[in-house]
Amino acid sequence: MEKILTMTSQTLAIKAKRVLEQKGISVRIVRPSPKLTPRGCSFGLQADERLFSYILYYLKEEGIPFGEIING
Amino acid sequence: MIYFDNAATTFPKPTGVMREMMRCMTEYGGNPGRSGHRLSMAAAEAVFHVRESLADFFGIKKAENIVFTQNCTAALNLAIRGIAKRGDHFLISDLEHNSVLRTVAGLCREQGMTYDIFHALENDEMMLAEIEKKCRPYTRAIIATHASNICPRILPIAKIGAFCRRKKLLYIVDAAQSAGLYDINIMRDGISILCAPGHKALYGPQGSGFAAFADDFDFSRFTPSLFGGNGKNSAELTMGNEPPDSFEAGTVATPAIVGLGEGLRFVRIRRRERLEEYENKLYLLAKKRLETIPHVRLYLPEAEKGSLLLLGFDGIAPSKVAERLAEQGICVRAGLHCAPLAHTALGTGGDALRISFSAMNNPAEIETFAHVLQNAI
Repeated sequence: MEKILTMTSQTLAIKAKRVLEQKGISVRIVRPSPKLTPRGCSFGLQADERLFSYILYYLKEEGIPFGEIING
Repeated sequence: MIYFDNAATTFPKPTGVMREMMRCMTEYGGNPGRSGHRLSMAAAEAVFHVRESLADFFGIKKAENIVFTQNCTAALNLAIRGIAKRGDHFLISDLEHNSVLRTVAGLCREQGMTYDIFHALENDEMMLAEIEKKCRPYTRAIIATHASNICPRILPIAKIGAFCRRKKLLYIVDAAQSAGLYDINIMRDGISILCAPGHKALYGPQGSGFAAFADDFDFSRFTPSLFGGNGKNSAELTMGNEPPDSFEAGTVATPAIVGLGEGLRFVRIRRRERLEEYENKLYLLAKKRLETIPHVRLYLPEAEKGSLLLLGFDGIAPSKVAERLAEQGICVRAGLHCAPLAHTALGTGGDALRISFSAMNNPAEIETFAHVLQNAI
């Protein structure tokens, strides 16, 4: 099942995607519905939910801020 | 035609700049940061790539710390207004362009801040001693040009940056004339915010500029000066303070940004060091040649490094000379150059003629210019 990690901006979403690709993790940048994100429009990284522990680990390691995990 | 007005904007631009701008407008011209479709994503990827290239070129790791603006003036307004808090004191040099002077003076007039001016034409040691003397306990920042827009004076940014670090001051650098030409490394030189145009020595199009923030810049107290949509957190009333999007309200100029990216590529391919060396060669050649022409006065003739010259004349107004040169197809700029403080410091009397070079000029043009100038005065 796919989940979405919300990102504070598209710029950071692109940065995160590039970092993850270098680690061999493939994600897609998506625009989740504002209804799913309390602060309104945002961007997110969509991937298989089994990858999220790695995704969060690498983003923290790189100091890239992220939001929350929501259903895709 | 001879174009010696490169300090206003470089001309012509490398062909790759036009090509990429055209490609953007025909192949991937979506609105970056707004949608998730292919064209918007492609535009966002292209803009991000330019952020990465600029960050790398100017010595920072965080690509998101490059905030795009429409020009250097907008970048300086963003930087200065963003850091300013009531009660702050600023130090600026007497070579500042109105993009710094008017912004600082306006803030002081409207919001009760204060500023002092230090003399930048003195030698480096005297200038640094004056900066130290004029610092107050509540001085928040030094805001100063890197290279003057009217005379061959280049400020020692690494020394000023080291002083700012020691005193815990912010250091905002106006790199309008130096970005792309002189060596700048934000982290090494202790710069807090570097403000630059894309359309001068970075050879991008007009409409491009940026503020580059140090990797360790604290955005928590930095306030945006432009408000509106940025494609994120749209349900909230505030812009936030996360670079770059919080400080890029409204649609960014994607064609101009990718053009700037190509301009930077041109600088990297030609090598910045070589461009600096080449323009300095043109500068020294022009200085030597102009010194032989009667009734021509050079301002700051002792300077050995530069990319522009400022001239005055005996018996004829510089603006009149510029007009005569324009009739002969020579593009130069006379007047106050939006830098009244600097004109006062140099004692021009409020009018002087500036010639400024780029990588596109050559020594033969200097000889032709000297010949035409001789007949014009």
